[in-house]
Amino acid sequence: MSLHPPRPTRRRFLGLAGAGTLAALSPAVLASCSSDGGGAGGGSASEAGSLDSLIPTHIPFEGVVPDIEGLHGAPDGFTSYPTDFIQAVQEPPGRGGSYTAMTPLWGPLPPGLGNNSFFDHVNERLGATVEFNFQDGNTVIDKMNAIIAGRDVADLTMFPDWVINLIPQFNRAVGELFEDLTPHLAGDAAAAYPLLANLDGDAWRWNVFNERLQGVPWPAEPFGNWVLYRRDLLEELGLEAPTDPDDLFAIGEEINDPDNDRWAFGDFNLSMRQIFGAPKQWRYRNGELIHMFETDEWRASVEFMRKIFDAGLVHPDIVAKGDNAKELFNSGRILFNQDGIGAWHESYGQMLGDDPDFRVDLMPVFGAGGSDPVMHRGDPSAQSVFVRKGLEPEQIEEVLGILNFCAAPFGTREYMDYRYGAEGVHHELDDNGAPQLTDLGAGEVNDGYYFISGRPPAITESQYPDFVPWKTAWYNHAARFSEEDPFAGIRIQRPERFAGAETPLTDKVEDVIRGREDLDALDRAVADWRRDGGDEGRDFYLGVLQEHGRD
Amino acid sequence: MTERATAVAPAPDRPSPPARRRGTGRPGRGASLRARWRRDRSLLLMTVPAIGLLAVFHYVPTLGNVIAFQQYNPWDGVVGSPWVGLYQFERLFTDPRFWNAVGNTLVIASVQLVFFFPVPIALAILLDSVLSRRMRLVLQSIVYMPHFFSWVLVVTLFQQILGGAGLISQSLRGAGYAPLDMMTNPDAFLMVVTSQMVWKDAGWGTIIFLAALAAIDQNLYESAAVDGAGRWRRMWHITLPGLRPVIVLLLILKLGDILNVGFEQFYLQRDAFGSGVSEVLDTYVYHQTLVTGNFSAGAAAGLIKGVVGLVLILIANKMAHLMGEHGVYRRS
Repeated sequence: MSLHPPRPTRRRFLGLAGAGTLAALSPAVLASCSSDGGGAGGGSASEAGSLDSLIPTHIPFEGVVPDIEGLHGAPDGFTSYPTDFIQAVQEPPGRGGSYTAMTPLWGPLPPGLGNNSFFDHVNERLGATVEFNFQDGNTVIDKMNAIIAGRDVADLTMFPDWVINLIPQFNRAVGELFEDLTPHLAGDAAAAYPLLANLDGDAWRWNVFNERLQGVPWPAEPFGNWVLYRRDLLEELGLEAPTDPDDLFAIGEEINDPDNDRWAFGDFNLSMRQIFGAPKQWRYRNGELIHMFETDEWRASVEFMRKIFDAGLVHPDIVAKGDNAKELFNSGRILFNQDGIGAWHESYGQMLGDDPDFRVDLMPVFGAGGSDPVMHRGDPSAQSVFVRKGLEPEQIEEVLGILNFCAAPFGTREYMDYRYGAEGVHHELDDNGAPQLTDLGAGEVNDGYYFISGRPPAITESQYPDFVPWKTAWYNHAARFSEEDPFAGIRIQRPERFAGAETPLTDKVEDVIRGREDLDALDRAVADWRRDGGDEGRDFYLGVLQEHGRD
Repeated sequence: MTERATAVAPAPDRPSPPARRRGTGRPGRGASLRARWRRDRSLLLMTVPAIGLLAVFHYVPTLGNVIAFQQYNPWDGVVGSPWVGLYQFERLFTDPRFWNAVGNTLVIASVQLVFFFPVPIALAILLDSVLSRRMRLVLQSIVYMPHFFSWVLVVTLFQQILGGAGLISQSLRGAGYAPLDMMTNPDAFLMVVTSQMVWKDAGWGTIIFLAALAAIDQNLYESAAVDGAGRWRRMWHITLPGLRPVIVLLLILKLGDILNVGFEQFYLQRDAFGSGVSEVLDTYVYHQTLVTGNFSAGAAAGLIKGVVGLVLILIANKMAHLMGEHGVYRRS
């Protein structure tokens, strides 16, 4: 593609004049053809649709066949582990090299290399040493902004996708800090790494920055967060799962029992937006972009949240924004809580040993007032792994071999190795052939290797009772309500003022939900948001639609 | 700190510090530069490592403040980023949220000054009056301890005691009364953060005062007792004057630091109490700049803080001189 010469837009003019937005937004960025575009504060966008020559040719891996097929983009389900695991990688991919890897980790830090036999085991299988430097997942954005600005990256660095979207001018950072993987992986070159070539094309396209394939994707389940509820406790109380918002409220009032240290709810603001039908970010109708904050549906969701806070149905620790929601939920002190969907099997891992009847389920997806919900799909790749610039070509090949190993899907020997360690040491297979971590495994096994490469998403944890059937059933129902996002497949870096205007508004929403401000305050806050960057963002996003011919 | 504190504490042979300083001059004042160099060179040499550290870690980074006048981004560097004059300052000064943060910071700082600052002094005098050495060590260790807890822990602890599902609320509920949730009530914010601060750091703050107390000549107490001075009189006429230079010094430093009320404590409780009361300058800078990557606005806010702090220190120092104290420094 050719580079457009920058033309003086209003934005650029202001930037040159040293006033106003300072966002020197060159149209070249919009056309996704630029490696140097975009001044400070400008957004940028690149489209995934036209990048086929840059991504690996898809080579499906012939693995175990799923028991429950995922519909409407939902992940497949496996109700049991295979009796014989497939050996997907014949030789250890490493040549004795040693690499550092930085990834966020949600949960306690495992013992480090040298004191951790799980690392030793997987490194031996890899034929190379990967040393992890874990960041606290909850504060990873603070760290990553500084790490990027200080250019202090590890040989392998994993970024959650939402972090990439928040780091200013990541599209510039990526070219300066990380190796261009296009020559190693584009087209048929990827045949050397068949498990990487097995990954979904959309996820690969999502990792093209500035016309170069930069990252290795982590294909994700379509939905990131939803409301989990304690199905065991609800059944004990003789109640059924809610079917609409009023029902949810009524159940909340019934189960709320502060005298006995039990509250109904945690915070589930984001899920309520979807139930009330607000868009994830923009809704495109009749040539106009309407932001989520400007929709009645969003407002209705805020009103509903205000209602449950007012009624005292939310645990006071959560009202005070405590970060102990998981503990409250697992110990039955709240019964409904929004969390990452992965929290479901994590809580089983922690709780089932002591409490075999412990059961969690995802709250069924329903709409409000007879309408359908609008489920917000995540981006096709939930996180990306980048290789530090400056490695020798042989080292890059070795690293990609390691990532290929860690991309082995469910049902392979390699998957069991990097997820559950050595059989008989870190895990034992139970009567159904499913892995159960030993005490040693529970202390040492971690998600490090799982996070430095991706694999097709699947629902596999059949070691937990009812988990696979319940989760696949929920997904196959929920996925049919997926939103049609006008910007699907376009990676957009938000303009700085647009991003900056959001904090005051979300602060105000917290104030309203928690009863510190009246609902009317929302009108003012939204008006301020429009003025301080919202309208600017609308113009920018409209420009993106036009550039991509989607208007 | 301790050295500095004892250095300004009065020498034992000069029990009445005020009034005599002016005009005494220092020995060697007026000697030629070369003579002074010859006399002081080994001392000056000894300061080189400290000056080196200061230069590398303070003065050189200070130059980075130029980005406050730029629209800086790390990829173009200081050299390549566009200059925007005072735009960043304009932007701050026209943002009502900035003024809200400044207001909150000043209110919190004043409350700290009135309700937190005197606590370590009182505590130090109290500890100093404990005669049993062993007992004193035990007590000191206990009051120091919370200083080593992180803010996360302190906030959690307070939440578990004063929060809506905390110890007090649940006890009240059990006894049939209405619960008391102080941890989300904006009106209780100042009280809560000040109590947290006292609990966490009052003990730690006694260290300097204890050192100053140790420097007071015990003979003075004995002579005063012989002259019939009671406990209160001894405290008023010996202990407090002995502490005065340190108190003034710390007060000046505190004033210079007045826009730094802390970050973590407020960051952690910002959403619980709402940004209306809990947003301070540091959290404002964090949310407005670091999260969105606008380093220049952050540098501008930092520069404003620095300038305000400097002006306050100069004023306070002048005041100290007028009161006859040394203050932080004095032109010789």
